[in-house]
Amino acid sequence: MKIVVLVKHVPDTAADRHFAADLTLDRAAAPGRLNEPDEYALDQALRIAKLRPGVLITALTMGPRDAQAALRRALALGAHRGVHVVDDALHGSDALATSRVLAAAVDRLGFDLVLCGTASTDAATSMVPPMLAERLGLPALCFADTLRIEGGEAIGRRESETAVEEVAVPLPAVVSVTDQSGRPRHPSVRALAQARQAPLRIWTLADLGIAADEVGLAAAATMVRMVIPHTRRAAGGVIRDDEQGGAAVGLADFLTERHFI
Amino acid sequence: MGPVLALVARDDDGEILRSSLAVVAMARRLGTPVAVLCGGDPDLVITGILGYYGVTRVIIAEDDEDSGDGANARGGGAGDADARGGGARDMDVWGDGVREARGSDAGDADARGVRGRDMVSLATAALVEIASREHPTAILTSCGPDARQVAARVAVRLDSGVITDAVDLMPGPGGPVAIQEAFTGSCLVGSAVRRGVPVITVRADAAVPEPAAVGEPVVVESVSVRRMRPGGVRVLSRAPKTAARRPDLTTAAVVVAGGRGVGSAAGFDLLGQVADALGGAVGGSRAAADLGWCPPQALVDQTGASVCPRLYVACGISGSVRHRAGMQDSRTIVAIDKDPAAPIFRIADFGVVGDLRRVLPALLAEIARRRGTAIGAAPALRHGGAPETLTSTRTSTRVPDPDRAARPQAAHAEARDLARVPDPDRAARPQAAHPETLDHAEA
Repeated sequence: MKIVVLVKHVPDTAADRHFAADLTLDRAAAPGRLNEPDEYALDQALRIAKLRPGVLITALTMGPRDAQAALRRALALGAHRGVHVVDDALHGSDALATSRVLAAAVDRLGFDLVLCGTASTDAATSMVPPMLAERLGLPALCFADTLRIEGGEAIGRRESETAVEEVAVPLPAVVSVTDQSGRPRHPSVRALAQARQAPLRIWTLADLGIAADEVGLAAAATMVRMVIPHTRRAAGGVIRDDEQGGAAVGLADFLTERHFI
Repeated sequence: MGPVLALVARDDDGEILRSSLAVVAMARRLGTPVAVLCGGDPDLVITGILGYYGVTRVIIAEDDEDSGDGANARGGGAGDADARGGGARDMDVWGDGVREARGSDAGDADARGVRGRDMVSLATAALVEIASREHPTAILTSCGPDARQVAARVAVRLDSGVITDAVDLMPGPGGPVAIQEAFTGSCLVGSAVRRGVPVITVRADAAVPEPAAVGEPVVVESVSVRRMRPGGVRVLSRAPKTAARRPDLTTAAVVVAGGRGVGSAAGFDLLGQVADALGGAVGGSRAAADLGWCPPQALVDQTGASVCPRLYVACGISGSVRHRAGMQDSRTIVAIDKDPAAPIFRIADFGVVGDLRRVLPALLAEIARRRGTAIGAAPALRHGGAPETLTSTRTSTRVPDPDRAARPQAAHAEARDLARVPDPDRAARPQAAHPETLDHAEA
């Protein structure tokens, strides 16, 4: 069974993040790390591999040179091989272009299951898993809280706006898992060291048969028009309670004034 | 103004989700909202409610006769679609008898109903089909897990740009401009779509459904669509989330949240009472969630739910960077904490330095006094009573409220009057179902 886990190298959410001059995310300015939600996808892949023989786990990423760090982390956690799609033309690609490139890459790799985190912590659109499924002509099980593989199907529990459902999708399929599905793992120092030396497969757009003008900022179907720094709200009035809850009257006045009571 | 397609979803009881009403409200900022519903009976109550919120046309999408979940037809899109479509229709066509007869064709009556179907593929096919005919200004969905997938798939099929999590929309010279938050709310980004029909997912908590009846009867049409690849997702079991009695955290207009300062799980019951009195949801900080005082789903945090309600009441929350990232865009922030140096006070519009275990009960009493009710009779304060009681207290305690739209249940009651539907079934149904199911949950 072949599992492809999509991983992404993202700027650390704890660091200060900025827009670059072209209004894309300035990825060089902040230290990067493996997108946290992807660790749950890796965890699921490793769980599946533990239960059945002959599972090949491939970590796949698309991104600039630095993105190799995410692959190496995935290898240290237990992925068997890493594939990096890198091309200067990819800079500024939107979700449509990203899903196109990833679809070509997983198609070339061959797969029974594509596993993803629910979202990246930088763009946080959750668009790529269902877009990828659409491009591959496959069903998707998105936002799964649990996952098991049984009888050629991926079965998982998911929560929609109206219900909690257990659903099954036939393989091959695209599945995204939430942080409820398991626990991120911590690689050993030895595994980290080994992963640093591991060979990676590097693919360019040409390898995937995609023209440079189909992707990147120029081909993006959305465009950032403006970035407005959020005006920090000024602190309002603070009153001190009289130890008997008397401040509640002042609070009720405030809430009444704003029509909440 | 051109049509704006708004994907409207319903719960298992057929009630429109609050997030869908927010989608309609956002659609009005760009043009004329056209509601697209997947399956189900287009009854007069539903159209009445949608009309009340400014919808002029409702399009009900159903599976093409022979492309149900079981069939494997790879459709050519339009085909014989619209065979039943166009114009207002006689409601009897959708009577139960006809429905069941068709249902048995498909092998399973329930498969024809709204429940347990793969709504993602049906909604995707419907929006693609309708968009190709209507050339809408934009296609809007909520940010719910299913709606997001629909948006993604529609964007691929139409090769259209997609913008997610919009908190505001406005018309622009080159098409709609969507405002999103970036970097955990530290800046706002205005984006436009430059290819295809803009597909935009909108945040339910960012728009208050506002009554905007145009006074004309809502036109109901239907369209039968052929799914590209039916039968992908099989539902094995399903538990409707109708039990939630409070609005969902991510779509609630009011959130009352607690942190370490609440002191215990029992302390959260007090927060729950305040939330009920204000018609809100209960949230918790990382500390409260880690201590098990509130369920993990209630976590408001950078990694948990990110909320921007109209009112956020932070109780016993110091206001760490991570917590602020999840709530700092709330319209109004009230903080109650013992520590006057707590960072939460720096972003609060109103702060109370004091013991929340004294302040909150006093606040409950004060709210009850101002509403002219006994403490125990504040709206939905003591849940578990008969539905009638709940309804009557809601009505009797409703003060003249300029912001009435924030209370969908009240507005709905009016929408119902507006529609003047002789529907004994619905009238008999406990009214209390509405506030709950409407504010119903987004995962």
